[in-house]
Amino acid sequence: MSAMDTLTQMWSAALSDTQKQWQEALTKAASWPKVIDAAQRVRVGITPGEPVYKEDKLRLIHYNHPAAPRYETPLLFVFALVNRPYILDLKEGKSVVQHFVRGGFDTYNVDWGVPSDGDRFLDLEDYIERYLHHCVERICERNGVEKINLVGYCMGGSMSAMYAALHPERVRNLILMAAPVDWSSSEHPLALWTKEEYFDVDKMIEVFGNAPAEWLQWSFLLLRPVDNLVGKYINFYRNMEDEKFLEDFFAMETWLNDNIPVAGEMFRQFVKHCMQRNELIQGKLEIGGRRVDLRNITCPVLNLTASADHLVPCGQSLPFNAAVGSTDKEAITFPAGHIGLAVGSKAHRDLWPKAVEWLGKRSR
Amino acid sequence: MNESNPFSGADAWMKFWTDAMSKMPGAPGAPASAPPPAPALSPSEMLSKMQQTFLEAWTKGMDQYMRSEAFLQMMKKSMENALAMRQQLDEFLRKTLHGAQAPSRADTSDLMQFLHTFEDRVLDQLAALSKRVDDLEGGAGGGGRTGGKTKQGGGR
Repeated sequence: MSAMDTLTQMWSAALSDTQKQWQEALTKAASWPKVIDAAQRVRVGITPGEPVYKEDKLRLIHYNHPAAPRYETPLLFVFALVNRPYILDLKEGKSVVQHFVRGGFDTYNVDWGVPSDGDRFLDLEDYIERYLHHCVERICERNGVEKINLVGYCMGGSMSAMYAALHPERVRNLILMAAPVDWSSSEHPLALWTKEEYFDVDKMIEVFGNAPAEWLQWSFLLLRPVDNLVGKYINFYRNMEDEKFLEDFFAMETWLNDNIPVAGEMFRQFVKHCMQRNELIQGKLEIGGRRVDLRNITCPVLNLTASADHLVPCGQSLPFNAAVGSTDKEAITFPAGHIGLAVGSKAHRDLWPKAVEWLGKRSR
Repeated sequence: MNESNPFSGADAWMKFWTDAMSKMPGAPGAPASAPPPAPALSPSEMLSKMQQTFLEAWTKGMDQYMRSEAFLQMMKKSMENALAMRQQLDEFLRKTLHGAQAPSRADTSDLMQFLHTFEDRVLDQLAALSKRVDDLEGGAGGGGRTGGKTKQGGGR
């Protein structure tokens, strides 16, 4: 084949490829109305429920059940303070809450509310010993039981662990999802950024009052800047004709951009005592004058971690199982990311049915 | 922190070019008896592959930078500057509002702190009273439910 033939072939391939690219670009341009429509139609938090307890800004949501619950022990979800809890009930087919509701558990979720300037002095004791404890008491009273099942996600998992250690008499089973408890390793960027020599949390809270939502959001975005600020939008462009993709994309975006501030004193104590001094796993953390000893936790424990977690690496969660006093304890590391654990299709297919089964066996 | 090779993120990029070049027909170093080359990539596929490789290299580079001492120091300085600026702004607003006899954010904050401390003091007193009542009633444990400062009471 002569050089001329090769050149002609290459030129014709490039021409047909350019034509294909133009066609694709036009199809994408034509799908913008669909994109706008999907953005406007986005609906999150799908399981119907109503608040059964309110205290300050906190609301305890009780989910409606299609039939009478199969298990006597109710279940309470505890989510982190940095985002809204509806990630656990994002949309049809991506709702952890629905797995448990359909699995026969009387299910509750704590919505911590959005702290304002006046809430800057709320501390760990307020959140654990007051708000969370009152929710548990209310559920026990409502359901006529002595103990509940706790499922804590992320920072909510750390808080659930603290609660279970302080009130073991109230917790029948404990499930942690990507919950950090051991900050001894500073390999992870977030652990590095919050080291005492680089981050003066006292000064920050003194000046800002609460930990600002935008600041928290940017910190999380910067953990994976290329993925979050570039890759995500390239992926969006590639898939923007796919209605299912758009639905998922906007549901996730709604949640990701729904950051809330964290009450100043709570944030200061969590960063200082847990992240910087690593007191929780060492049994040195004190809440309201009481030492949080994880060995007090003797109930069955299921510790769920995500192998590709960019926010809470498995190394921050797995030491929990060795620190508790339980004999019935299990850890599952699932191939997903931090948020994928709650909304990933694989997690909903393979992980959550197992978790429901695990809890069911221990709630009879 | 891995600072020994700050440019290792470029490895993926280099690998891409080496691979791409070696796949070119007639490229120096390509064995004469090599199996027929895989079908050539179209320009758009080539572009997409380049983009992917570039993003991977960028991600690795950024990850290393985010852990570097230079970034940590830069973050610390930016934070200090932002806090200093915010403090100056708050101080200016406080003076302006006080000049206009209006309460500032700092006043609200002080009031909230007072209420919070006040609440703690009341709770302490209630706990002490509760303990005394338990003791008087001869309750076992002498106020085990409410011993010490606690915020457990008061749910609605």
